[in-house]
Amino acid sequence: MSEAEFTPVSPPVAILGALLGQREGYVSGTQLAAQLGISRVAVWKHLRRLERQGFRFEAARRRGHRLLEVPDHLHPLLLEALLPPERRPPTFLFFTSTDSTNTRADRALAEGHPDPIVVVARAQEAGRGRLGRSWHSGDHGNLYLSLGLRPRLPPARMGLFTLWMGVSAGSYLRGTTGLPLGLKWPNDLMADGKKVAGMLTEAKMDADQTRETVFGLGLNINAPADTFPAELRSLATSLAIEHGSPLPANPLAAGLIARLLEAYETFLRDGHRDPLADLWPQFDLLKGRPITLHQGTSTFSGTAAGIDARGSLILKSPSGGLQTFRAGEVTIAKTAAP
Amino acid sequence: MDLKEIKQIIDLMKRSDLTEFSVEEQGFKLRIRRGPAGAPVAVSSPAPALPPPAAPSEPAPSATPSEEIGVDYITSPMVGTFYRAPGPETPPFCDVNQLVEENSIVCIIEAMKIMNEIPADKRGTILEILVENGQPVEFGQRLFKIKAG
Repeated sequence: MSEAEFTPVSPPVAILGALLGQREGYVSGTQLAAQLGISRVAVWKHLRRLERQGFRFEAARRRGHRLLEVPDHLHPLLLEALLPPERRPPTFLFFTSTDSTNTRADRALAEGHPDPIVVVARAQEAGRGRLGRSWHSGDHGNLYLSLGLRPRLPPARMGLFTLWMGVSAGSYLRGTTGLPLGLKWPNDLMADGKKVAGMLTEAKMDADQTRETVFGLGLNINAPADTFPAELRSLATSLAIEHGSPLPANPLAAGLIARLLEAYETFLRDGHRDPLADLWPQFDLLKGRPITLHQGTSTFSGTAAGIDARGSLILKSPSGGLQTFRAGEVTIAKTAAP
Repeated sequence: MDLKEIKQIIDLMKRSDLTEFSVEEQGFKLRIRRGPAGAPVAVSSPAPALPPPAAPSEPAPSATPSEEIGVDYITSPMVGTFYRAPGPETPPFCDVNQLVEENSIVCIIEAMKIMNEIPADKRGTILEILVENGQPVEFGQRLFKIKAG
């Protein structure tokens, strides 16, 4: 990708980018002004404005400016500055609170914005999961993210999308946090038997291709245990709870967005099959365990036996027969305590 | 024989003096008669020896000429689970006797946790919903019976 294809960034993003690149040192005001093609006074004004939004800078005579502190909560300019230039999306929308990031991404696709469209919110008023279920989305330091995409692929080609995006998110977060995260087929991200991230993909079909796709992800980053509704406390957790202390939300979210956009690119050029086959067994929480799969009004019980080449869940029945599933909800059967 | 072939026959008839055409293939019979001034009229009826109806799990052709005229089917473009509404408490996308426009969403098919909104590929009135909510469907399976137009 040539430099000309990079999305141009606003002056505050460019200032943050320059200062983030020099975390230990100083960047002179003259240098910043020259780099951005604006006056030193304009640079100074941008810095004051950023201070009002939770950033802290140090200015040293003759040396220049240094970034001391960034906001704890997700911040749009910081997220943009933290994204590697080749991963800055052509459309980036940020909301302190919105109805649902999936709905926003869907609307942005319909309005014709160039994709990939990245939508981030600190809170959702109507966050949703599979089949109209709600996704608890308070403003507690979590990430609500949607990617609006136009894959234009036949539906059969979309088959591994869910697993691939799940494994990509999982391996990034495992690498960054060091937590032993796993996936419950198809893509519930789990930590210590509790859900830490949920993903939902909604697609619009044309005659024979998947025209528009919205990939939504809710990740509990810093939510403290007491912010979960009582009925969810045994089912859901956050990275911070598992980690034992809060995590830097902005670098974590920016890194995750970059990884997911990269994963989507890999998926478009059909390069995901081998890495998925390699990664899935490392994340598969179900393999070898007794499970029940609910599909509509039917339930199937047996032992999970991994996935096939198309990503379908393989279920081994008590009689030894194998059955594969492309949809359904899995519960892990309770086994007697050891 | 598909719709394209039937159209070709009609075109051929228009361009020639041919006023009647009939063909019999395995499972169905087609007869097209053309009035002196009017457009061609297609009349088709099941042939006496019909093959047994396809099992519900087998892919069904999207249209067979052995049905009454104007009746058509919206079929599933993929293997998955059929849902009539986006959620258990939301109204279904469409119902019997409702007119659906081409490209309006008629159902969701979930496959590999992708909720695929399925558009009608033709305009028409829903005559029958052939799959129950939450049931698995196969590629090409008939989902809705519609009266086209």
